[in-house]
Amino acid sequence: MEVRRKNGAEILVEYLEKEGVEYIFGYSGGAALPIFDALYHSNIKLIMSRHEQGATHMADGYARVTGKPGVVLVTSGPGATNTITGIMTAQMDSVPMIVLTGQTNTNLLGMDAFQEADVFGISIPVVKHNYLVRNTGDIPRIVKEAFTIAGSGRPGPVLIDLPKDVTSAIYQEEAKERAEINLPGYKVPGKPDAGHVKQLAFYLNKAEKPLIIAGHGALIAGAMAEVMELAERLQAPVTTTLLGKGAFPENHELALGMLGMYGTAYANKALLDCDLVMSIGCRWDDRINGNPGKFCPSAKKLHIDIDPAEIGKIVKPDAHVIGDAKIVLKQLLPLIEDQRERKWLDKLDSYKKDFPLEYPKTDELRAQQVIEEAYKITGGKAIVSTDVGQHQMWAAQFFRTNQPDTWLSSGGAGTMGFGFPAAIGAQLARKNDLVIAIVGDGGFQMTLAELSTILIHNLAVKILVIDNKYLGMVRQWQEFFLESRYSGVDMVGNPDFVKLAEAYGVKGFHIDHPGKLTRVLTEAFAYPGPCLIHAEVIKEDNLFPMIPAGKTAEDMILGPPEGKMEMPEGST
Amino acid sequence: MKKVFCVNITFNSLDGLVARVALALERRGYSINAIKIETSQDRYSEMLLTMTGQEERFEQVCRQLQKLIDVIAVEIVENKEVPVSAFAA
Repeated sequence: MEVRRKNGAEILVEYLEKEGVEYIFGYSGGAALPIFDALYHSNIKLIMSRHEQGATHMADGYARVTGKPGVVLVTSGPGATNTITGIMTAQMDSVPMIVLTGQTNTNLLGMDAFQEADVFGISIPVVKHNYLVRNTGDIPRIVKEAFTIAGSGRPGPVLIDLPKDVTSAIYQEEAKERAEINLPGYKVPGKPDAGHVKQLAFYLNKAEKPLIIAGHGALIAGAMAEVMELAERLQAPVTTTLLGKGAFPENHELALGMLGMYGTAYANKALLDCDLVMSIGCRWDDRINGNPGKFCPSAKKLHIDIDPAEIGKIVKPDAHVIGDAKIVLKQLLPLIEDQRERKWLDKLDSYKKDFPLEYPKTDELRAQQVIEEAYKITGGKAIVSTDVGQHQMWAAQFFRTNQPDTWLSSGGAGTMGFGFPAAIGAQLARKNDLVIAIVGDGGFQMTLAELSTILIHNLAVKILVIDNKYLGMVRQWQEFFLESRYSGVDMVGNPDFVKLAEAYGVKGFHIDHPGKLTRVLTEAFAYPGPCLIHAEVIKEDNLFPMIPAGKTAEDMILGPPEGKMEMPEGST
Repeated sequence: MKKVFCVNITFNSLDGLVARVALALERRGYSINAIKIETSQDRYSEMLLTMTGQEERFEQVCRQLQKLIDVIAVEIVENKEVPVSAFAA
């Protein structure tokens, strides 16, 4: 019996199925026709978005919650270029993603063909790796390599540009014979260096006031149990970065919440008081380290990271270990000497009492109150995705994260429009979990067309729109540093978000007063279907604590500044 | 302070490699003075590269080059004044 030979697109889909792909987030177009056709009979479910940016953030949210690469499929030209923001977002936060882009025929490349763009060239700086497939026979190897690269070591996005003639061509030979990966230049760190681990233990056992910073690397490695054991045995407080939320339960007595620019006062004071600070999978980013030259000058600095290029990039550590955080900690723990008590924990407890996160409780609705109430009602048992801005930082402060892989936020890139589509990806991965997208009126409007997507697939995402009618974060900076010259921040013209949701067929709720908060949120979170909650909060409010960019924890301010502050020299 | 550095990069596949290297350097303020590439069928290919940039960033630049998926090794060529003849055919 003659076996029907497959074309490139069918081989592609076959190898995606072999990788266990459940969903493809995408948007169709001419150059990708063969691939969309091959998907017609596949078990892989196609989730069609309303904009390619939405598709990338959905894949991203899916990946952050499951640890598996999120897969995107778009067409050539503008379809592909619309994914660049989402790809960069994933790269900055080390999220595994596979982006498949249709492309014009190989003989038309460079000829300014219809919907042709040099997607390979454009994407080079924002991917972990990318491919332009010129031979149909290369597809199996490239798919396997792409998934290997995206999901191992420090995860990241991999783009595969697929010309239409390559995906249309029938492959005459046996595809599986060419499926061996060939990546001699790609090495994932193996067993950690025993000598380096010993050095880490040496410093940790000597320290009197050790502080642990748990970053995204700790979560990616699944090292929660090891971080807990280390913290409890050393009696060391643990702070997390924005991306590290969930690596250590925030309701634990050793937890200090988030550190850095809008972190808690007590986490930042711990940074000033400690005699040793250890990063477990955090990259000493400028949100927590505004001035590397003045960062913890008298403390020993230790760094555990899987990416060798991060060691010494910003902070020169006194000792470091390259490797997977879980594996490194497992090797380290037997060398740790148990501590019964730490004097300085009493000091930190007093900081927690004297400098708590707080906000005025008046009869005006505030973002902090909405978010804190959401945390109380859910008991923290929800997957929370945020957009970008003041609401994001208030969510990081007031919606405590006690479980891993339940907090989705665009950290490195700070991409507005991320929050809602990321929640969609997360809900698809966790059908039975409560998923809340906490978004601002600004960011929500960038990707709100995905309201269609949640309705079509009946995804019960709760969209909590914190509407202050400003781009609040920028407005705060203009108030503090530019004498309140508000330029480019007024969100005049916002729609009635409830009517907007209902126009899409999504249930809407409205809150504009603290008295209604508990009742409406409780009803909305219990609503058996997707819904949008429009929370109208006070127009002008400021985030505290704040460490201006380029400054250190010593310059932290806890309340409104006396006069005009100097425009920070550091990056925004 | 800006200095001239020379590296020898061993790599697996030339696909887009020059672009990848150039972008990684450009982003960090390094400019390329000269590139010589020797491809080979039976062993890995090599790229000899001299570049100018801030001394403080050199180690990080080498690590970022090493991070490129198709780069197998980055070897610093100690004699930084590599003669032009090294780039002759």
